Amino acid sequence: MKDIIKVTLGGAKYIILMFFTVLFLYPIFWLFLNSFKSGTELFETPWSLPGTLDLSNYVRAIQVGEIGRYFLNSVIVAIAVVFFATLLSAMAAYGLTRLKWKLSKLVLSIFLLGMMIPTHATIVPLFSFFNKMKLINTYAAVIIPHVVFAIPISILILSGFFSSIPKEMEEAAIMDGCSIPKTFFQIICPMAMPSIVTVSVITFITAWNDLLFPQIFLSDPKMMTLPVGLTAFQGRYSTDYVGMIAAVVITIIPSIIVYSILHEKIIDGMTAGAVKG
Amino acid sequence: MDKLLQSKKYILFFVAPAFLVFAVFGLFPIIYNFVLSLYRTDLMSEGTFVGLKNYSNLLKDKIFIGSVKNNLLMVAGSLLAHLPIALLLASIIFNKVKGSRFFQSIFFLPSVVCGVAVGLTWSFIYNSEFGMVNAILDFLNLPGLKHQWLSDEKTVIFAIIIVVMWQYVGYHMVIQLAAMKNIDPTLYEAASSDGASKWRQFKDITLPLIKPILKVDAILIITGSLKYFDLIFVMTGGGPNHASEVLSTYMYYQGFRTMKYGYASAIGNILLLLCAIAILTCNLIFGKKKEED
Amino acid sequence: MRAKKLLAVVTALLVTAAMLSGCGGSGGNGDGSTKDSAGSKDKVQMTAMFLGSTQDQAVVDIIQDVTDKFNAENEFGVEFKFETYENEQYKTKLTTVMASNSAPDVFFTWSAGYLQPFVEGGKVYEIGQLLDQDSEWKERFNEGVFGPVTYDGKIYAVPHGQTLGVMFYNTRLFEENNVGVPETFDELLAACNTFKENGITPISVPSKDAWIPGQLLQQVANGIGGMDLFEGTVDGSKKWNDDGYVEAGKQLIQLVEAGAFPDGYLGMTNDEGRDLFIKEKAAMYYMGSWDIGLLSDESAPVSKSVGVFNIPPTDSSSGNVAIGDVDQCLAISANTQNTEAAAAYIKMFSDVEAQEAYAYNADYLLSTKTELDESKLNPLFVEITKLQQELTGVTPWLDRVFGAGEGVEFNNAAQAIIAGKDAGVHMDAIQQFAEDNADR
Repeated sequence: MKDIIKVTLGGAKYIILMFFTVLFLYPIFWLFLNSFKSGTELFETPWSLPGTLDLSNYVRAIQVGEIGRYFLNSVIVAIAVVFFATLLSAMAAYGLTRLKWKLSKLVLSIFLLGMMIPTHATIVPLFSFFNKMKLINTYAAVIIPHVVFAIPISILILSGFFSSIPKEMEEAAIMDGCSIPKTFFQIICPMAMPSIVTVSVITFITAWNDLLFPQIFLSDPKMMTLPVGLTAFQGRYSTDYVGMIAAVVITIIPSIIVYSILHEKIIDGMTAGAVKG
Repeated sequence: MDKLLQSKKYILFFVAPAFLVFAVFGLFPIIYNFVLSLYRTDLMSEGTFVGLKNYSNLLKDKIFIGSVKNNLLMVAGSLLAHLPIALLLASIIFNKVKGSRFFQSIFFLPSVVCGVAVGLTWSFIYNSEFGMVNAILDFLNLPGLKHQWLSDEKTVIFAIIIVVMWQYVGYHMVIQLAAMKNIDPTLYEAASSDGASKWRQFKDITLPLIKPILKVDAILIITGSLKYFDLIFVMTGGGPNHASEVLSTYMYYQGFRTMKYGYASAIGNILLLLCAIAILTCNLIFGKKKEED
Repeated sequence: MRAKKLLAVVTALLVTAAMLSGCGGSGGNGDGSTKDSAGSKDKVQMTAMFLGSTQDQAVVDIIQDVTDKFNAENEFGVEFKFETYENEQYKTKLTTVMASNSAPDVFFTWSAGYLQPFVEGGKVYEIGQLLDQDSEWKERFNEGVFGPVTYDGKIYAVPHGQTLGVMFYNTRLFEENNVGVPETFDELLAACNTFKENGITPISVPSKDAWIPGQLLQQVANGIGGMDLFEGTVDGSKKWNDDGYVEAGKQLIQLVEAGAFPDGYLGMTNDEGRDLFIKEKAAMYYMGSWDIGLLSDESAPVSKSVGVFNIPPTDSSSGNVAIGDVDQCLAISANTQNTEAAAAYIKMFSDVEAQEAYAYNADYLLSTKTELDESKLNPLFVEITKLQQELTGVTPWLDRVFGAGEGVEFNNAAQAIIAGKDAGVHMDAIQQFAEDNADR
């Protein structure tokens, strides 16, 4: 009897997983199919296989749509955001939880205040500010706001982790002659890899998907990121749907590849501390 | 040793960079917004001070109230998908299934696809004539349930919530899965040999130990769905007739279109207030972690 | 440990590269600079902002040509660099730069209610002064085109094209079904019934974008209240819930009930709706004149049988009124350093070459008195121009006149009405919104 239940449950697991796989994959598969169709074919038969394997949409997306450049810009911005946000947050979280000073709780609360900020409400003041500092139309104008908004949640997660590290770690290191910064970078951080990687993933996704900041703070089309580049397929009175679809497919493929490769590292990174006591 | 930990030099070194960046580019806009919400201005000429009038106007504004309602619906929908369902998927994968790496990649995939693309795809799926949803309903012999999903004021917000649920389930699943993998496996070994069922193990070992991450995840989910903008802007622009308007899109509209920046800032501040309430509630429900000193 | 160090180093390098290229990006060669940049270092840089994405190539080409020519030939020692943005992005961008006092020297604008707040905020230079000083420039333009860009008697922008809302119809389908061009609204309704009975979609009105049912509602209202109703709405003497509008709403519902619109019209996008007419599945299509290029393209089945007429009035005393507006308006921002150079740049957009390009390639009706070679013109263009001359009045799109806010709410109401909701209720809602918003 137990065996039957085991097998059924085991089977049920797979059914659930397969259901969700289809649910997640189908729309993406649909995009892939339709990237070969022409505009009118799309409206006539959106769910059938394409008539021909016509690559003209891809050509258009790359040449006219310059989707390669937008992808690269998105990568540059996202990686820079992750780097700076994680670095600054880790340092701040360490300083707030491991160093002793009176105002630490207050400062921590101020940081956490940032989680409540509606990002779009900051556009006008930030635009004014960046304009005066001549930062408009630079990557910095997009990187800085994202770093700012990533800091609160990153500090929250990282300070949670840092609080749980036994004090003995620092004491031992200092006995050995390490300075505090050295202790931080060479001992504490490696231990915190799980949280650091988690924080990096969260920051990356938010920065990668954002539409509004690049749209407003960048004016040179050569610097636009992916979401903005995709909206450029919309004309004043007509939209190149199939071109947009081809562009989307072009960008999903590298994302899938990169994620598959990094995936092990990410999950391993996120779970590095598992066996330690 | 304590002296070292109290050294001002080090404190500044570690905390100052983040604090400076945050204060200048994060706090300053917030304060600016607070002040701005007390004025009536289009930012091009002198504004007039109106005190709390913007807020009292908001309370009478039907579109605003509708937006709040929509946001709350979004929070509910997101919480449903991104906590229990994500947890379910995470625990299935956690318990060693074949091809778990494959499944994780697939589930995570939608969150990497930009809102613009997701919006485009689902617009086609929801199309009342040739869309997948209505086609499936036809197939299941339920033609009465067919709707113009994105154009019907009654169904549009629900249709959008489903897309949001779809996009980020995998993302939250990965976060929770990572937390699960951080649990010491010997705990499970001990429980197994004591004869505890998988469900029991989940309830008594997994759940309590990932609680801190669940709290953070819940905060991410709630504040995320309160602030959500991109997808709605691209799919419906808040329409039809403000039926899918949320706070962030309405704030955008009153700011960047009608140029009533004072009013828009007031909306922003209400959004901030709602996020604050959400965070406090999460802290209460999940229990605040005591600082070990 | 090694791998992590490597990763850190690589990331740092990437980031540094990014910052460097980012810092260089702002001064780098944007899309809009002149192809020949030799000797451009000693020229003064001026900036311009236009509406246009890769989908609006004809217009972007005109901008590029004019800019190249101006940069090569002008006597001010000035070089213009321009940027183009897609529709929604453009609106947000312009608002933001206006609010932060960093508007470019020259910018594209819509007419009437769109430009008004900027004028009232003191951000736009009164270009009328320069027009008055240069009679050759001013005389190029047709009578009345400056109306929608005049505020308090002063001109603030220059329109370089015009558009007209027309009912495109399939002459072949009309003939085959024995339907004549309707001369009253009732005849239009009857025509819809005939087509419906014969299994043809009468009118394609893709209603996903609210402005499309919006313009239809406005035109029906034109046929009820004429110029009186429009002008009354503008000067405030008539409210949004005026009988004229409510009546128009009810007539729109009559069309809905007659099945005049295609299946799934509520969720249909502009492109789909146009496609329906192009594939000859719909007998009529109400849209702006900008679509003539797409409708008369050789690959379009309908291209051989397209005609136009103005939606006839319900009440003939309202005259022969249509929706129309000026377009491609350019303005100078108030904080420009060199108004004369900016004006000279704008002037080139009404040069013969540019105006010809607007007409032949971009399908804009003329705002100037340029002579056009009919043989190069799309025949629809000629027909529409004739139609334009027979009108007794022209009303710009209400969402242009009133801008964001009431204009958008009017479109929203039309969208709700065409979905079958109560006309009275929704017109009341616009009026309420207008009153509330005035207070915010």
